[in-house]
Amino acid sequence: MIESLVSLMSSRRREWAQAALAELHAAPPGLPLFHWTLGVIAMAIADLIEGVLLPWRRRDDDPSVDALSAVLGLLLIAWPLYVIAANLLNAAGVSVFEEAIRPLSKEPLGLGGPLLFFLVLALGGWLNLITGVRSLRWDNSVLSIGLRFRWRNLAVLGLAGVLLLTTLAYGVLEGVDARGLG
Amino acid sequence: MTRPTRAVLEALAEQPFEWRYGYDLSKATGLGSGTLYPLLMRIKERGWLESRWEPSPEPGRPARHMVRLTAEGRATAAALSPGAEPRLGYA
Repeated sequence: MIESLVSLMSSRRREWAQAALAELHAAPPGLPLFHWTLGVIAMAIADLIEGVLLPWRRRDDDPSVDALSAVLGLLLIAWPLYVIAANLLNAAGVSVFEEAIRPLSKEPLGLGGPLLFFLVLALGGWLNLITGVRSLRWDNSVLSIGLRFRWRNLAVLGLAGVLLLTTLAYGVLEGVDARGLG
Repeated sequence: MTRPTRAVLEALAEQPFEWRYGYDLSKATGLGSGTLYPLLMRIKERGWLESRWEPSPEPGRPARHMVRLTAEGRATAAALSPGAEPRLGYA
């Protein structure tokens, strides 16, 4: 399991994590071995988090962080995608998917509410947007940003954008309707 | 320079021409793997450290990673010794 985690790390740090892993048999069994292992896991997680949140600090073009952002983004938008698709299908006459989630959709702040949708869609989109930022630097008060996207991140970003617009449109229309204009 | 970086350089400087294992350095400095290895990476990126993999003499055991100071690293570590003038920025 640790090897899989280490293989996801940026190549800059992977060698050092593998070096730490190679020392596992040198650590005495028990607490020292546990601490050593925990340190390697912490290294891998810190590297992945930094890669996802601060991708411009990476020194190599490692695809694993882009893949991780795409997977996290997809997981985040999966629920809004289901709810919106179920509502569209319901409008088209297929109610079985919408009926399954109807009890959750009543509260605006609940699991089916637009506020949660807005937050998770924005987060999923943001993760895949900043993954494309390859360089970021200030030169004489000018901010230079280098962008390069992988198709999977663009796909998740696009999907999150469409769902976000749908959620916003729904929220606006419901708001107008609730004020008695509908 | 941070205290852990100084500790690692000082530990390496005790045997400046010897290749050292990470776990030995961990014992010498009291730093865990999660702190030690990112530090070693940054020290190497500054050109103060060289590293290599050594095949294990015991069959079935993975190769081990070893590090030692470069000439620049030795000079840096020497400058850290008491009485020497500090000449380096933060690591």
